[in-house]
Amino acid sequence: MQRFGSRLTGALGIALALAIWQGLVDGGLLSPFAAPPPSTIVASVPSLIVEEGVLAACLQTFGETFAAVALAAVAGIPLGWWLHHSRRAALAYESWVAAIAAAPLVLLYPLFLVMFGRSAGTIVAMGTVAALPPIALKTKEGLDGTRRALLDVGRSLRLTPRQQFIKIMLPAAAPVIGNGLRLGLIFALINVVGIEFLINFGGLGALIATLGERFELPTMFAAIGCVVLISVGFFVLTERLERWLRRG
Amino acid sequence: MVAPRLTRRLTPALALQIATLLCLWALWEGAAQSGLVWRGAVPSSVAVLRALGAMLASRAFYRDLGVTLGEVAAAVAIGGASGLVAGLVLGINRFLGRAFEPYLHYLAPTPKIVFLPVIMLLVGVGAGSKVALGALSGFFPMALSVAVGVREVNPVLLRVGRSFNLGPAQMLGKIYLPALTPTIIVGLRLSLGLALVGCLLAELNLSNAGLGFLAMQAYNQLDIPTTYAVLLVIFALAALANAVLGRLAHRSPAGRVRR
Amino acid sequence: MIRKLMVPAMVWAALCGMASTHAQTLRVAVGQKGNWDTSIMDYGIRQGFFKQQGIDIDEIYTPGGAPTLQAVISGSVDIGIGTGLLGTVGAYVKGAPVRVIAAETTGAPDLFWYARPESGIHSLKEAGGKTIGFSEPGSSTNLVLLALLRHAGVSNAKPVPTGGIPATLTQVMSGQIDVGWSAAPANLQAVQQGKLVIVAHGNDAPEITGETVRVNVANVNALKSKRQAMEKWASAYLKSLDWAYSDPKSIDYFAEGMHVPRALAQQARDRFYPKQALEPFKIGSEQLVLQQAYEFKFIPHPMTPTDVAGMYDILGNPTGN
Repeated sequence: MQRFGSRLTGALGIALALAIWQGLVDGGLLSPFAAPPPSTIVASVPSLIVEEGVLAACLQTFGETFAAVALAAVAGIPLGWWLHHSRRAALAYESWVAAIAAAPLVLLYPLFLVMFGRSAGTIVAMGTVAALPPIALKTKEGLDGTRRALLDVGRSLRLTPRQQFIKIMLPAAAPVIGNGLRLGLIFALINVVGIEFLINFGGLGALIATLGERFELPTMFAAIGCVVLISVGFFVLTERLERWLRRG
Repeated sequence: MVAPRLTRRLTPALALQIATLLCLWALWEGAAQSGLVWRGAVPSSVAVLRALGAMLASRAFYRDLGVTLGEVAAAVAIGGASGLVAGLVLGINRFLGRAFEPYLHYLAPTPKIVFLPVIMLLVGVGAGSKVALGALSGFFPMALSVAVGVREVNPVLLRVGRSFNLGPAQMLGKIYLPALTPTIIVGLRLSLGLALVGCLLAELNLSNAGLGFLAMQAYNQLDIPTTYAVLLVIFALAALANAVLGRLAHRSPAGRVRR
Repeated sequence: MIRKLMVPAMVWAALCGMASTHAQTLRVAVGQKGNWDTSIMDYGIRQGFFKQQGIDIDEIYTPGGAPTLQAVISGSVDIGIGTGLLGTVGAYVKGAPVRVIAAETTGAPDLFWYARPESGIHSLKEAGGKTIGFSEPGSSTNLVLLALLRHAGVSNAKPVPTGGIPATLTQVMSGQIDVGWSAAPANLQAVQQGKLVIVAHGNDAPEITGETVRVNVANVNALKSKRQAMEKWASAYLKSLDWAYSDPKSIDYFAEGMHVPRALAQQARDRFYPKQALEPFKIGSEQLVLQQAYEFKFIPHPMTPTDVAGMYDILGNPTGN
C-alpha cells in the first residue's frame, strides 16, 4: 500500500511539474521557442512515429547503449575488483579511472572514427569507454565497503577467497555495483546519443539533431522523451540484475 | 603511523604510473609512425608536445583556462551541493525516495544540451549559461550516489544515534555525513566529470572563451595537435582534481581500508 | 601653441567620452568563427567602423546553424550572423520572432568537393556509385551536392552526412568515404601540396549560383527596441564589407584568424569569395529556397515568396529597397 502511495505521489509530482511548465508557456512567462508546452509535445508523437521513424531510431540507440554498458560491465567489474584487491593498483590507477569520467571523450570522436570507421562500432566504443569508470569505481566502493563482521563470519566458516567473494562480498556489494551499472548507463547513453548527434549515423541523437535544425521543437522534445523511455527500460533491467546478484 | 607507510606505498605506485604512461606513449607513437592510421587524426607526440608548449607560452590560453576552471568549480559546487541535499532527502525519507528517485534515474541520461535555450533565456549567454548547464549535468550522479549510499549506512550506527536521542541535524552531522564521506567523494568525482563535459559542451555551442572554445577553434582550423594539447590539459586537470579527492577519501575515518 | 590646442583637445576628449557613454551595445552571435564571410563584422570592429557609429558589439561564437538561430529566437542575442536561410524560413513559418536583415552568402562559391589523388576521381562525373559527403541533412552542403550531382548527370552516387570539415577529412583520408566536402580556405593547403584534388566547386551548378543560402537575422523585439542602433550596425557592416574588398590588411586578418599563410588566404578570398556573393541587400532565388524548404520538411506545405514576405526586414540599404 505504501509502495502504491509513493508511486502515486511521484506520478502526481511529475504531473504537477508538467502542469506548471504548461502554465508558464500559456501565460506567456516562458517562450514556446525555448521550451515548447507539454501539450504540443504530446500532440507531435504520432508524426514522430509515422513520419520520422522514431521506432527504428529507438531500437538503434537502445542496442548501441546495451552493447556499450555490457562491454563496460565485463571490463569494469573485474577492474573494480582489481582496484579493491591491489592497493598498489588503486594508488596508481584509481584517480586515472576517475579522470576518464571527467574527460570530454566526445572531442576524441575523430580518433575513434579512424579506428572503427563511421559505424555503430565508433558509437559503442565511445559509450563503453564512458561507462567504464563509474562501473569500476562503484565496484571498488562496494567491495571496500563490505562490513568487517560479514568477512569475519566468512573467515570463521573457513570459506576460500573465491567463496568469500561470491557468497559474501558480491551480494553485499550488489546494491552499490547496481548503482554503478545505472550510472554507467547514464554515461553511456549520454555519449551514445551525443556521438549519434555528431556523426549523424542514425539513432535518436541524429533524429534530435535533424529535428533541431528544422526547428521542430515539440517533435524534438518528444524524441528526447524517447531517450527517457530507453533509460526507463534500462533502469528496470539493472534493478533485475541487482536482485539476481543479491540472491547469488 | 600512516604517513611513512603511505610514502613507501606511493613509490611503487608512481613507478607503475610512469611505466604505464611510457607504454601508452609507445603505442601512440607507434600508431602515428606506422602509417596504418591517418596522421591527421593521430599526429606524432612531438607535434602534440610542440603545440602544448606553444599553447602554454601564450597568455590567451591562461584566460581561457581561468574561464573554464571558474565555470566548472561553480558548476560542481552548485550541482554537487544540490545533488547532496536531494540525495540525502531521497535516501533518508524512504517514501520520497520511492516516489521520486526513479524519475531521477530516468531523467539523468537526457542530453542536457537541449536545455541550453531555456538556460539562455534565464541567465543569458555568458558564463552563467555554462555554469547552469554544468550544474544540471553534475546534479544527477551526486544525487543518485548519495541516495543509494544513505541506504547502505551501517544500521548499527543509526541505532546508536537514535539511542542517544540525536535530533535530525545531529544525525545528519554526526552519523550520516561522516559515514557517507567515501560515497560523497565518489559522487563528487562523477559529478565533476559530467559538470566538466556540460561546461565544455556549452562552450562549444555558444561562447567566446574557455578551453572548449579553444579546442573547437583548433579543431575547425584542422589544427589537430593543438586540439589534442587542449584535451591533454583538460585530462590532466581532471586527473589532478580526482587525485585530490582520492586523498581526501583515504583520509576520512569511514574511508580507511579494512584489512 | 599648446594652450591653443588644449581647449579643442578637451572638447574632443569630452565628445569621445560622451560617445562611449552613449554607445549602444548589440549582442551578436557569429557562426563559424574565422570564415571570411562571417568575419566581415570582426574586421569592421578592428577598424573602428562600429565604434564610429556609436555601437559596441558583445560577440559570441557558435558552430553555426541551429545554435545561432536559437540564440536569436530566445532573445539572448540581438543579431545572428551566417545562419542558413532554410532553417530561418522554417522557424519563421512556425511563428518564431526572427527576421532576415540581410543576405550573407548567395550561391556556394566557398564550397568545394575533393578526393584523394589515388582514388582516380577527378570530377563528379566519375563519382557514380561512390560515397560523397555533405555536412548534415537539409544543410546548404546537402542542397548544393544534390544540385551538383543533377548537373553532372550522376544518379547513382551515395550522398552521406559526414558532419563538419575536420570529421569529413578524417573519413576521406581513412578511406571510409570517397569524396569529401570543404569550405575555403580549409584543405586548400593540402590541395596545393597535391594531397587532395578538387572534383567540384559549389557554383558549378547554375541553379545554385543565384540562391541565397545564408542570411543575417535579428530578434523581432530587438528590432523594435534597438532599431536605430541596428540601422547603424547595418551601415557599419556595409562599410566593413567594402573595406574588406579594398584594403589588403583584410587578408592579414583573414590569414591570422584561420592560421593559414597570407598567400593562401589571398587565393581563398579571390577565388572562393567574390564580393557579389556577399551582397547583403538581395535575397536570391526565393522560390527555389521555398521549394527546398518544403522538400526537406522545414515547412509543412508548399509556399510562395508572398507567404513569407513578412520575414524580411532588410536593414541599411542606401537605395531604401
